[in-house]
Amino acid sequence: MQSTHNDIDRIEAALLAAYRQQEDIQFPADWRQKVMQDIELADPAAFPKEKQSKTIIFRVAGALAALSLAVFVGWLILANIDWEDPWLSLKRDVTALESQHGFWLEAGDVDSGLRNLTVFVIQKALKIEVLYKNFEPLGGGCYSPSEVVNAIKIPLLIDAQALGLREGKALLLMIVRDLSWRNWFQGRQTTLERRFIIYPDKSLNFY
Amino acid sequence: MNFPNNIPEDATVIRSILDGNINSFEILISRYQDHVSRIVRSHIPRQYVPEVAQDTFVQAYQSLGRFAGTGLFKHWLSKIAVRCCYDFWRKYYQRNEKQVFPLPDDYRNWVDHLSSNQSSEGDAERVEARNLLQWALGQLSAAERTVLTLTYLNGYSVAEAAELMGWSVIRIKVQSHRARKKLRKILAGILP
Repeated sequence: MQSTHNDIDRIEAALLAAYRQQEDIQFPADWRQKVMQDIELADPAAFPKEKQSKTIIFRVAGALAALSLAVFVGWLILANIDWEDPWLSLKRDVTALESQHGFWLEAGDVDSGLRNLTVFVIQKALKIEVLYKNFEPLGGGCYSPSEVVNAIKIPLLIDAQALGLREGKALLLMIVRDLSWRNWFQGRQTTLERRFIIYPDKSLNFY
Repeated sequence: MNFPNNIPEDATVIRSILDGNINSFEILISRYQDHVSRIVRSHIPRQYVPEVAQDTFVQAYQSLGRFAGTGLFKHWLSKIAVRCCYDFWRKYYQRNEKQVFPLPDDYRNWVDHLSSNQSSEGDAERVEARNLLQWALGQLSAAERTVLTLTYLNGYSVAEAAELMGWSVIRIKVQSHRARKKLRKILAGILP
């Protein structure tokens, strides 16, 4: 293996030496005239100043386009930066309730606005979606600020009997998401949980 | 065109050409013909040197308006010469897809000669060596060949080669390393 390396080194060195000992080349006698003829035939449009001004125009146009793109992207990012989580609250948070229980659910987001709101009742393996509201404006990512919902107040009715809930412990789970690009475009999320007990008479008691 | 000074500077000649005195270009040709010839000869087989040198001067003339004048005209012309050589090989390989240069028939004698530690400084051996080098370089791509010629055969630094080719230093480093490795592998193949 070592001898092969040495052989290749020797061949390389010999080739390099031969390469570096090259004789001068004699150009044909009319070579210079031929070059000058070619130059005289060269397209005048390819000549200097005109091309330079074109290059400057293209460069300025390119720079302006790049600047516009940077401003647009910057605006897009700044407009969609979201600093605050959405908020959520449940009114009439009383301890003993009757068979049908009405609440006021309030939610909001000061930055990007609300995306959706979901309410579940969970009892052991049973998970029932009792409310889903979508507030996302139509048109994908292109919408005006007036289409955004920043705060809502929704009545929430929980009828334990109608939902098929049994007596015992249960959980009211409320999830709200905003329109920001956080969490891989899913938006920031706030969760509110309320534990309660369903009595034999189907009344609820939060604890 | 008569210049007030007997030996006008490049900048004066260039200004004169840009003002429409095409014949002034002949001054640049006579001044830099040897320089361009040396560069082209180091990349291209002898029979094609006049043709590629001619291309170099025609391209220089057509691009003269873009010569900023901040550096030396000679350096600017060198870059054009190297790129003309690279273009030559690209076109040459496209035309001759398979075997660019045949393996010389008498290469075995040359290798044996070298293995037996005999001097190989005769003209015939030199020609054999050059033919063998042409064959080996012919196995490389146009880019690898041009970069290897600059860095390994002509001894330019990576930064100088990058400047001449108008490529990044990293690209030159990668091409040069890859080409050298390939060349050694090719040469290993001709060992007895």
